[in-house]
Amino acid sequence: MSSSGAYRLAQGGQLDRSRSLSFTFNGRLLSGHAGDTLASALLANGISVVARSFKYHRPRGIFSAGFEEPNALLRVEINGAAVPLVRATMQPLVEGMVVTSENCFPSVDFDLARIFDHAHALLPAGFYNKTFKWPGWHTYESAIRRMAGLGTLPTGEDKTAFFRHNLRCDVLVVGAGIAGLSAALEASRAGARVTLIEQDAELGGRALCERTPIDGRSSQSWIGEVVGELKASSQVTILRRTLVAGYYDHNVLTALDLSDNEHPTGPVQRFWTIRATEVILATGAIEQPLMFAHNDRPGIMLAGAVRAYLHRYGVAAGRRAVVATNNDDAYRTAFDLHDAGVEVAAIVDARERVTAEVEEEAKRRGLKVLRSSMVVDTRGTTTLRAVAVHAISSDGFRLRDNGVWISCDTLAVSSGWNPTVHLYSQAGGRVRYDTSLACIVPDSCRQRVRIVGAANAEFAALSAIASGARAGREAACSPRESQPVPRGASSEYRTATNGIQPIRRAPQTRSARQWVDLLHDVTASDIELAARENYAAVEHLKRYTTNGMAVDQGKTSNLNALSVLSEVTGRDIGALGTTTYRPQFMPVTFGAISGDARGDLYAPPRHMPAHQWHVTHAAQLDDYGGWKRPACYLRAGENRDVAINREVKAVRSALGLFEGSPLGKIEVRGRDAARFLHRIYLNNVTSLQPGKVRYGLMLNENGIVIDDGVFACLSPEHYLVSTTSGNAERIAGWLDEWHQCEWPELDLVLMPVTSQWAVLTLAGASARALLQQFPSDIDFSAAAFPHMSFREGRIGGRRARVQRVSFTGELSYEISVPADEAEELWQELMQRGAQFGITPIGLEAWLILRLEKGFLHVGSDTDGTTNPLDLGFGPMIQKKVGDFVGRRSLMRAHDQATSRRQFVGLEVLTTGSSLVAGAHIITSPAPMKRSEGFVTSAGFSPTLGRFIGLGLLEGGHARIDETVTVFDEGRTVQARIVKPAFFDPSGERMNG
Amino acid sequence: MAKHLVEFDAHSRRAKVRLRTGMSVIQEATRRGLPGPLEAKTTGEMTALWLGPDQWLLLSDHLSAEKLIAMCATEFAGLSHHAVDVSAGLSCATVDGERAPTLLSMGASIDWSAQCIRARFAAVPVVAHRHANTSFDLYYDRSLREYLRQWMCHSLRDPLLTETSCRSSR
Repeated sequence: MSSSGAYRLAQGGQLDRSRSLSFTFNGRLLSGHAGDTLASALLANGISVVARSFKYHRPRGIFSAGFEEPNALLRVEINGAAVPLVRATMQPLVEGMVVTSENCFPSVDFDLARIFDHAHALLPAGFYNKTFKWPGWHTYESAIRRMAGLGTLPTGEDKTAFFRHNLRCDVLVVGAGIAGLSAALEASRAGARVTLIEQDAELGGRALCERTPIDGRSSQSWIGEVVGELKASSQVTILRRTLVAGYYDHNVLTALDLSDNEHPTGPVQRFWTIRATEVILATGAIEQPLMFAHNDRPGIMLAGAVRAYLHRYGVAAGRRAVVATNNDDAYRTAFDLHDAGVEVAAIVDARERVTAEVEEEAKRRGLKVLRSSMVVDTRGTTTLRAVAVHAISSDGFRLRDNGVWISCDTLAVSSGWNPTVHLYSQAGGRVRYDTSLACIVPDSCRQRVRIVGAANAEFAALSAIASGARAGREAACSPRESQPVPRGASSEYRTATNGIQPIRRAPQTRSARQWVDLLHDVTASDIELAARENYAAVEHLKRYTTNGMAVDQGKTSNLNALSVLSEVTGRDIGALGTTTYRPQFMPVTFGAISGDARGDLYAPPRHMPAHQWHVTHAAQLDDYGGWKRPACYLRAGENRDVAINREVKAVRSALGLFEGSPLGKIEVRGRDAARFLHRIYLNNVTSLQPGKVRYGLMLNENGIVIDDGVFACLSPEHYLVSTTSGNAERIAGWLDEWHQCEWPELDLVLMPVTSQWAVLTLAGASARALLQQFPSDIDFSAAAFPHMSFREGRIGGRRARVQRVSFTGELSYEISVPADEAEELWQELMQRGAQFGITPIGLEAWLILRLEKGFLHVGSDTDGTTNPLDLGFGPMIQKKVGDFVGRRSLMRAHDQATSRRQFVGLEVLTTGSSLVAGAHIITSPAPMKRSEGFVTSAGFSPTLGRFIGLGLLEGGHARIDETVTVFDEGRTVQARIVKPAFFDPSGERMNG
Repeated sequence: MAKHLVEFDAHSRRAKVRLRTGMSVIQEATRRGLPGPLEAKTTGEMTALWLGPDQWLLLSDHLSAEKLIAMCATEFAGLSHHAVDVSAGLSCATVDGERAPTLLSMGASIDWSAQCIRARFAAVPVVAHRHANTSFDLYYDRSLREYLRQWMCHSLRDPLLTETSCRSSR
């Protein structure tokens, strides 16, 4: 007995036997070797039951040796990070890993929920659809959901680091079996940039698990030579332990790195998006099982898997084996087991004839071959004890005589190999059932994809190599699409099919369940039931029975399900068709797909030029349109409301400094700049003189307000357009679109300069006095620099653009300086402004200041229906000379209706009551309350000492002084409709 | 000091000027030596990167932005164009080293073999200038610097990238 288990052979396998690895399985300390998978280590240690089935909680053992595994889905914890539903067949053994079975209580060896197995007659396919109807499904739902499922999600913080990678190549080869290696080699020799992806840690595919020589030498030797040449090529990228899970249009494929728990720095998941000019699929084939009574017992395993454990891991699947087959290929399992010293009790072959070569080999070894026979039943609970073998008729539908029971602990089954066409189908490829090959084969595809080797039913080694080589050469020679797109899968190399006779299901000796889908506990009788209930189309069958759903997607069940359906309906499998194969080929975590797009990296927050100053001065940073901006600056003992009120008062009584750098800034330059802007703005532009600034509104074609801001005339052919912060990029694109698509004849150039210029705004009665203290070539006196003017010059040695505009109603200057000089200027303004009581102002106070003035805030006070007439800009439109975007729409009767929701101010009448944005203005009193409008902006005005608001109200312009009821989440407030200007309506302060 | 795969705030004194011509001048601009699609061209002390059919980014470590703008004014006198100083608005990060293509491929799926690439890299619009197969300058909006730095630091944790260095002047 080996130290790594009773079933480990004394020699053989591609393991590092010098390195022992210990792990626990359901609390038992076990050991294996470096190079083992979890499955091979469990088998080596004689673990027969690894899991319980989904529905009936029957004991299940390891069934396969690859990604098709339906049973051994275990919870694996490595370095404290647990992952459910890990395929034991794909998980490399890691020192210290903690493995537990799921879906069982109290243990995998004794599961109380096995009671469902004894009550299976009550639980056929779709039973919950028929049973849980009274009083309603939801009565039972939570209990059923608790019982359902195959695993539980880990709790606690996910310490996995997720990374996304992109990769481009001329030729992508998926699968590094002998066909894939051959394709990659030829493509690289032809000079193509090749990427070779293999889900296994070792390259070689199925050949690693076989003794079959290639080209007169061992497969290991052949693989070693090819891999050596590929590794030496700078043109070749090899990704191991990476599974291609999705194939999309334009030859875009996605792949998941499976080495997630094997990094010393902690768990890592890497998701690849690959764009390939040509794709070669060498995805191999999946062996299919036979159907007979109780074919789900532990110890029953795919014949190819038995060979894989034997040759690759040096593990005997059992002590005494029976091989059941309908093809020649499984004989190799019997031969290899026998040669390794494992007793082979019998080979049970459903066929009448066997090829002479195989027969001779069996005879030479003295193996008992039972022809025209099938395994029809099994015995055992946690281990297999015996199989019942019956002779059958030549068509496989009838039993011929009394059977015999053969004792064994392993049953290797094979119903032939079915090409892994999942990715080909995802690519848009059509697949069909080939009667002569008795498997589903690729047919044709609209994408530039070739499929080779066993994936194209080229099961013979030399055929696969030749097919791969040709595909590699062709793909490399046509990366620039000089060759026609290969539409059909080549059939030239399809050769021997191991003499398969498609007898997949044993006749019944008694009423006993024959499993079709081991993962979802779907039996042949479930499929018969579905067909009786007219769910006879494959897609309906899948949904009704759940066959082929969940994490294995029917890799070992779809063909058998089709076979049973064909038998029941009398239709050929080819006529039944197949279900659609969709991404993902294997489960991919959401974390891997989202990659780094989570947490702080989900979306890029933008920082203003003086960000660092704000951070170090207790700014409360909030997200405003993607920018991290100070909402307010907290002083000791203040909460946000107190701070905001203090900042508002500071502007009204002294001086405030506000950073408005996100304001959009677009330069428009050219002979037709004014004409262009005249067509864009609702206002007159051509009459604006150099050095002057004007407020303007932009509409869309439908006459809806999309943005506002000021525009300055720098010179007759040079304008500076300001947009709202949130619309800076959108408006730049909007202007470009109008210029390029509608008015290309206009001679002008548009240039967004938002990031170049930081904007620091001084607001307050002392603003002018402060600026006059700076050395500057700009005359800031009221006469020389009136309201709505623009000046360019130097302030304190810095290049500056200054606009005298006001969003607060105070004397105000917007000072633009190059962004890298903003923080320095800010500090200087704060230092020099100390004598005037300067205060940094956050955005919340800024918005209260504009609310007190009743200035519009597009996006808050407007929605997708608001036109300028609603806002009271009718007189401005009347003054407009010429056309502008949206003018035609404003002529429609509905746009001019006075019953529309119009912009108004609101004063709260109820003492001590607040007003909130979003509250509805309702009809009152009325039996049926109806919303007539809503509050768009609201807040407490520290200047006025009460809550005020702005809103959109039906017919609002004619309802000034009316008292209305404002409703908010069950609370009502009385408010008076007023004109939207609460403070300094004549504008004396800002014009002063 | 060990070489860093990523360096932020590189070439802080580099002058950057964005030049845009009127649509009627595009052909004339390329005739006068400005690079074509996906190209970069260095002439004397100035490098020009192609940004679009009518746009270029002019770079110089020796000439000031004012000088570059003046050169544009001379070159395109009488022709519709506009050149503006964007030195303060654009930041630059260098990605230089054997793993540079791998790191860049994590941020965008585009083909990085062109000399000049505009892409959305890690959700940040960038202009990439490829000097050599493993050496790139990335120009991006200064407001996104901190995000890009965080993204780079995260990506450099990938065990695929053995050079886990990221330097920034701040």
